[in-house]
Formats: sequence, structure tokens, C-alpha cells
Amino acid sequence: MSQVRGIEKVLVANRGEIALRVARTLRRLGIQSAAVVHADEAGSPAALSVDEACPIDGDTPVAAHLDSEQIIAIARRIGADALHPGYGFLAENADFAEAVEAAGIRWIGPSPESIRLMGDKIESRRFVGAAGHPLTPSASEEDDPSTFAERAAAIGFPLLIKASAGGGGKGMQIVAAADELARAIDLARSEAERYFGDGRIYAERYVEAPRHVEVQILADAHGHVLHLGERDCSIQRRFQKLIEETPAPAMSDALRARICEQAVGIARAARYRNAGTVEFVLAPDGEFYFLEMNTRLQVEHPVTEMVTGLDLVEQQIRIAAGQPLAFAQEDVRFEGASIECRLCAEDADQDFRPAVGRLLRVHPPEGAGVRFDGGIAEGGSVTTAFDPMLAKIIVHGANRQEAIERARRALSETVILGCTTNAAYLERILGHADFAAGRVETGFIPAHAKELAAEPLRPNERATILAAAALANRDFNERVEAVPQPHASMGAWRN
Amino acid sequence: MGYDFVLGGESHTVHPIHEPEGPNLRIDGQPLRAELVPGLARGEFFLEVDGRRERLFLASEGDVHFVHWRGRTHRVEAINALERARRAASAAGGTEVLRAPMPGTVVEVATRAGEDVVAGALLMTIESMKLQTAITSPRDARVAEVFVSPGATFDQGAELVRLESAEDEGEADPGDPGKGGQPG
Repeated sequence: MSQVRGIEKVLVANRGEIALRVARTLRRLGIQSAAVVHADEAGSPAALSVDEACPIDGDTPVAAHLDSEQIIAIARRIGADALHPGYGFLAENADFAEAVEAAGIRWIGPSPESIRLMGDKIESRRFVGAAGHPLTPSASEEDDPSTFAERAAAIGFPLLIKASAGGGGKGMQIVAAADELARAIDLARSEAERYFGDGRIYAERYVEAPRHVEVQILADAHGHVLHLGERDCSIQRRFQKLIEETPAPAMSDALRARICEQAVGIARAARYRNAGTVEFVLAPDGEFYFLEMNTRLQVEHPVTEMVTGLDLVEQQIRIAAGQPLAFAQEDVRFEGASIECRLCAEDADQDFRPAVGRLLRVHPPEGAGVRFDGGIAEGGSVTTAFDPMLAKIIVHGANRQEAIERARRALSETVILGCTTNAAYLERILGHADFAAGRVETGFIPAHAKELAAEPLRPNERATILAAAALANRDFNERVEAVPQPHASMGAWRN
Repeated sequence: MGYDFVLGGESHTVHPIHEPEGPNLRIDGQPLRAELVPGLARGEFFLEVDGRRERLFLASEGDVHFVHWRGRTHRVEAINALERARRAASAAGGTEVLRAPMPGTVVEVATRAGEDVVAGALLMTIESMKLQTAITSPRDARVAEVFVSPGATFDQGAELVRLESAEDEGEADPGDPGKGGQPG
């Protein structure tokens, strides 16, 4: 019997770890669960975790998960009251959200208008700026070409001159001081013309060693908006988050409060509903600027759950059912610290090259304060069909130091055999003095590349590993047993 | 003949030592005594090595072994001496000759000159000492020449089949066993 009136059955339009995680809450709330499942994943933990596994197909597994019509048809057919999109795929597709609602199915997320507004980087920045919230100081040349250099200089140095039509790091000039400005503007304009056929440029504050700080928002359909604290997600490789934590380290309570307050203000101005995250860039001087808002549940939401004791998926479902939030801002409690590590199928020693393989053995970490959110199981195959993230290891501790120790131990104890993972690499990051001191910023990984490289094995360590492998090797062991000489020289010719 | 094991991109040789007591393995020339004892959990083992007890996790798929020890996971691949010779031949040039490991008779030939074969394809079946053995291609290749025919007898070391690269490109990367002779 569902504990949430009006929502008896939910279709999870996702896969892997997030589908499993949503299903867990659905089961706890007595809500019937269904998930779309591609044939390649018929035996996956996510498929097995729901009451109803609904086949979807497409040219590729990813294409299947992006097939709005197919998914809505399934939701209708099985009589789902609501649909949870997870993250990625169609989670921030306003058209899809609209179509789901038009089909009479509740969308477990914000309104399509919010998704549309916040999904457009230029529009959302304009909106947030107009609402009086901090944006990265910028100046556009076309607003008034004759005063551009002046307005750019007013931003302060160092600054970036960028092509409006640009991307991929092209057409960007870093300007360290005022005497370089004029030349940089000319250069940027001509490069913009050359690379993008569009000479429009703008200037933006260049934040060196920025931190990525985001705030979890929860809002109901009755005008109540509150925050559930901030998360620091500065440890990234190639713009992908690897480690996230709450509370943000090395931050004054005053700054923390200001950032959270700004986030609530932005969500309120946007008339936001359900769960969302407001992301900011935090400069070393303590200034912070709106980056973007994510109109969905984030991968790293568990760290917020660990310190607040709340189940965010449950909150999402209740909000979607029209319930008012059952607590006010002052009721939210923050206990201890939580860290999440994204376990990925990649070789950190080979420039994070994606890894594949069959999972021969999977032993998740256990223990006090350890949570493992993974969509993998022994016997499963890791392929390049989907994202390389295999699982999230989330820990909670009474304080940051305890959380770090627990995370390091959990990573060391995680056994995944058959596919290379970044577990040991994540452990090295957590063990680094700068991380322990909270000296985190988005360039942490490249800045510490040498120190984070794996220690070469010592000869006696190599011998231990080789001995184990040799003794496990069938052919080697057959040779170790008494074998007549002529046959021994046959080597491994197989009959 | 020892076995080669590749760990961290480097090849190491492990020999068994057949003595009733003392070391039972020689690794890169260093003797040691090691026993592998199963633990309680699936895949858990204890390696009793030189008086120490090391707890580790092991899983194998054919000749590829994964070892989780002291918080790190290592991949070790066993390359037997024959495979080593094949790789050396592949790396040295596009052509390699497969030779008879012992004297015998050709039972049947499953290929012919000019045929493109994939790694593992059956080339011929031979019989020695009452045992039939399949001779398979070590990599994707083109059969250049078949030196014997059904019913022929041969000595140990006799040439059986010559292989060459199907395309005239780079050669197999010795450190990349799963991919046959194709580059990258």
C-alpha cells in the first residue's frame, strides 16, 4: 500500500545505479515500481530491483533511453501515476517533461518552464542577473563597442576575452594586466572571425583556482523553498566530478550562509518546484558567481542525505504528489560530514582511459557510515555503451577527518576484479595533504598529477603478486605437478 | 622453460622449483616459497609467502589474473613460452612460421595458401604419441604457405604453416594480447 496518496506506481525512466536507488525508495514507500530496461541489461541489478521491467529498444541502448515516445507509451500502458527521470538522458528535457504531463502522468521534477529557463545558459544567466544575484562579471562588446575596452578593464584582471560563438577552448585570451588588453581584444576578435566566422567577443572575470560549490534546493508546490546545505565538487577530471563533499571545507559559516541564501533566492525567483541544485563558482577571494542551475536530482545527492538524514527521492515524490514540505528551514539538521567518491571504469594510470571487462568479483565496502550505490553485479559486463561510472562510495563521519579516513578505508577494501577502476587513485587523492587541508579547487587533479601517480611496485611486492597469479594459473600448476619430460616440452599445445 | 607473467607492462619469469622442501618458485631469478590457500569469502585467498600471510582477492579469466592486495588491484597475464615466441615472431615482422612441437603425422589440413584467418582459427590437426592436437592461428593473419599435407609425417621443429599479415601495416603489440595482429 503506497504511503504517498495519489502515487501508486512509478516508472523509472533510467538505468544503472540511479534506477536502483530510486527503486529502493519506491519499495520503502510501498509504491509499485517499474523501469525501462534495454535487452542488454535484462539481468542487471536495476532490472531485477523493480516490480516490472519494461523492455525498450533502439539503435543503441542510449538511443532507447532517449526515445520519449516509447517511454511515454510504456508509462501509459502500465498505468504509471508518475515518472522519475533520474539524471542524464531525458531528465532535463523540457519537451519530454511536458509530454509526460500531457499524458496525464506526474513528472517527478520541476515544471517544464523551469527546465527550459535553466537549461539555456544565456537565458538563465540573464534571468538570475536581472533578479539581482551575482554573476561572473562580464562585458559584451556589441552592447557598446566604443566603451568595450573600458568596461572590460572595469572587470578587473586577470580576465578572459572570449568569442561569443566560441567553444572548445578556442578563441579565448587570458589577459593578465591592463597593458595587454588592447592587443588581446584585437587578437580575440580576429580569431573569432577566423574560427567561427563571427567576430563577436565578450570579456569575463577569470577566476583562478576556482572552487565548484553548489546548493541543494527543495521546493514544494505551495511556495515553500528551502536549502539542504551546500556541496563542494571541486575535485574533477576533464570537467567531470570525481569527489564531492558536504559541508564545503575551509569555508566560513557566514560565506556558507550567503551562498545558500542566494541559491534559495534564485530558486524562489524562478518559482522552482521539486529538487534542484544551484551551482556557483567560488573565487579564492570569497566572491562567488552563479554558474547554472540543474533541474533534477544530482549524482552526488547522497552526501546531502547522509548529513541531513533525509531521503531526497522520497521528498521528490511527495512534492510531485502535491504535498507541502513537512519541515521548515529551521528544522533541517546537519550532522557531521559526508564524502562521495565516483568509482569509474577507467585506468587512472593511463590518462583515465575507459576500461572494459567482465566483472569476475565484486565485493562492495561495508562498515559504519559506509554506503555503496552501485548498479553493478558479479558476472555483469562493463562496456563503453554507457557512462564509465560504476558506483558511488559514500561515507559519513562525525567530522571531515573521520569521513576521509572512512572513505580511504572503504576504497581500499572495495574489491572489483575483471575491470580496471579508479579506486586506488581516488584513495590517493583523499590521502593528499592538500585535500586534507581543504585546499581544493577545480584544477586539483592536473596540479597534483605527479604526486597522484601510482607508486611503482617494489620488487618484493611484485613477487607477492606474481606468486599469487602463478599459483592461480591452471597451466602453470599443471606444470608444477610432476609431468613427464616429453610432454612438458609441448608447452601449451592444446588437444 | 619458465612462464612469463606480464605485470604493469613488464614481463617477469616464474619457474616452478621441484624440491620437496624450501623454495617452490623462482621469480625473476629470486627463489621463494609460496602457497595459496582459499579464504572464507568468494575470491578471498591467503598467500603464505616466506613466513608471511598475505590476504588478497583473486579472480581469473583464462590466463588473465586479477589480484587485489593492500588496497590496489593488479592485472597479471600469463604468457606461456610458446605464445612468447609467437609474439616475438609477430613483432619481428609480418611473417611467422609455425613449427611442429614434436614429431608426428598430419591428420587433416583445414586451410590453404591465400586464406585470411582470425586468431584462434583451426589451421590443421596433427597427431603425436596417440594425442591429436589442433594447430590454431595465433593472430589474425593470411596463410602464406602450407608446407604439409594429410598423412605426411614430420620431425620436431618442421615447418607446418607460414603466416603473414593480412594487411601490410604495423605489427602486433606484444603487450596487447587480446587483439591479435591488428594495430592499436
